[in-house]
Amino acid sequence: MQPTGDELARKAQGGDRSAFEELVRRHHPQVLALCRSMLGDETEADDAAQEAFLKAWRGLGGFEGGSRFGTWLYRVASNHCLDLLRRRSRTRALSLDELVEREGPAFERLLGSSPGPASALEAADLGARLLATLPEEQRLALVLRETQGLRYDEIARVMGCTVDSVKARLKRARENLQAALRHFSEGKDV
Amino acid sequence: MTHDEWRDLLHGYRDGELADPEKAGVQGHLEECRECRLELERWERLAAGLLKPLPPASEGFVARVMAGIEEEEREAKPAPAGWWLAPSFALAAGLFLLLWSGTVTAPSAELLLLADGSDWAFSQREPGPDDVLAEVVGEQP
Repeated sequence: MQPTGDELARKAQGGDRSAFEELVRRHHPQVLALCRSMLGDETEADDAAQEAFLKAWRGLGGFEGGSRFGTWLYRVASNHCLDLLRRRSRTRALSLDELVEREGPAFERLLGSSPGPASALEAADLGARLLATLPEEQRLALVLRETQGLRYDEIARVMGCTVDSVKARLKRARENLQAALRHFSEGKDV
Repeated sequence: MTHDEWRDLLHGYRDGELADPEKAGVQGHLEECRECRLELERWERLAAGLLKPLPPASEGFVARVMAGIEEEEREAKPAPAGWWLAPSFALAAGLFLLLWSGTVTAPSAELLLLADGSDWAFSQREPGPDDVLAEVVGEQP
């Protein structure tokens, strides 16, 4: 039987590098996806994910085992991404409305009533740029829910806030995106 | 419940966060309300556009992380105890060898060359009572 994440984490806390290697193997696709969704740029996200694992290794003493190791790891990775975004904040991102205006045809292909053959690459790129227009906390809550599939209480632990705050952030993020993109998606009926 | 109250619960329903009675209530409302069905459908489409498939597992990534840890630990490895004394010992040993070999001699106690080229002679005789008296009356002993 395979050891659980928490068992591996306890071994890693004792200095067992092969246990930590197994944790990296199990969790890196999720951590990479989180970093890519938060940062947009793929190369920067790869570097950020690696640094997040190094920080996790250094900070293993802070994992108390009360929550799942994955949740703790998301917290480390999320904080690292937020740090990077704050340092980057001098370069102004496009607003949601500006992005929608500029990329209208691409959104039409993706969401419109007669969607064209939008490639997976185009969809991923547009999705990342769309997320980048949201305030960081709304973005993180939405990514953790939609991309990582975390429950509200897990998101609250990762973000260090209450479940009610998570609900409010998700609600605002969804309302922002839906309002900006309503024009493209309203033509389609169920 | 009003339509807006049901509408507020739609995402909680989709996220699987509602208790059973609320969940059943939303299901019943969705059967009757086309507007809420459309609302959910629109979000599903939007989320599908936003969602990125998880990147495939990469042994290369795992190897890079582990190499980073190894490098970091190598750099942080403490040097052998007392390493900081080594330069002091080396300096002391060097000085000892220089003095012992006689290549460095202390300047003569009697004669020092002054900067203006003149000599300054020191007496090696211990000062006695006569010297003190001579100093008081302003004579050279």
